[in-house]
Amino acid sequence: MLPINILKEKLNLIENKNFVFHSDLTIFGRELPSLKGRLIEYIYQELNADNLAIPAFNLKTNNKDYIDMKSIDLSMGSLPVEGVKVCNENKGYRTPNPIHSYCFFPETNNIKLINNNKSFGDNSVFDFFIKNDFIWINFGASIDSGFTIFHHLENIAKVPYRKQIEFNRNLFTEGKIKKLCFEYYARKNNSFSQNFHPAVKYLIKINALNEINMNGKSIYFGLSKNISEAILNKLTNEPYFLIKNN
Amino acid sequence: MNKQSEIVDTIIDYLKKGNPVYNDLQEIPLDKSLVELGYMDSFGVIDIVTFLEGNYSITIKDDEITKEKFGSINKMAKLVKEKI
Repeated sequence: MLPINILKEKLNLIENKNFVFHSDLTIFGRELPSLKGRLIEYIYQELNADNLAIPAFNLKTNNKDYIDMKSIDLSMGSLPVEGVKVCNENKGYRTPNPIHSYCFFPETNNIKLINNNKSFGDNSVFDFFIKNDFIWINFGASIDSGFTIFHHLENIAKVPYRKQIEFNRNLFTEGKIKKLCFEYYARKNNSFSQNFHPAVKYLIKINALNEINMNGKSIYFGLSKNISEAILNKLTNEPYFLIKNN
Repeated sequence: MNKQSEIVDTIIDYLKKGNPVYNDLQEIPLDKSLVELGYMDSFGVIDIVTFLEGNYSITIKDDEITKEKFGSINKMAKLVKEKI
């Protein structure tokens, strides 16, 4: 059975059909080449989604102050590249965020209410996922790269090892250059590394997250709201829960 | 019999033919993840799997396409070497 079918079977038990889908696409194995150019449509249909959000992060633009939201860069990863291509064909909406941008399928009015002058915190895209009952799916990506929502929760919990910073960015979007002052919750120093493994283990233990093992990789899924509540409670008592010292 | 270094060279030749970005590099990293460096995407990973299977008449299982076993050129070559 294909990994997506196993996930589909499990998701059929859940009424909600809004999904955030992070993935290492190699989990698709030999099936992957045949999906090139139709991957987003395939995932959308297979999951029977109402709304599907695909990450399209610009993590390598830290030193660039000009970002073209239509540009495609291999370093983003295959899934974001496929997502941006579909958005560039006006079949979806890419949030104009210089770092933590997501591609939404289909475009809906409420997506426009997301504050894209920040990555995390109130009214950010992650706040949107939680408030709109999105199911967080990590489809084969590593634990440390497939749970970006935890950084949002660090921001909400005001963890002691990060601080609010601001920097300027020029965003080329919808034919115009938009200047924005971007808020980011940055690390205070390099004395620690993120370590999301205990959090994932904890979420599975309290049934806020489900795990399926396949092809040497893991698939995780759970309601963003439940993930948020559980991790915020944990961070209240253990503010260093998501990191380890270097 | 293929030495691991010969397999490495074969992989590099294949990568250079398929993607000009590798020709522009002064040195192709052998022990780092090409995916994490942004030189290869998931489609590229499956493409190199298919090439190695055909070139060396081996089978690479889906659960071997992981960072631990297939995450760098040296790891790819080691896996191939073990199978031929």
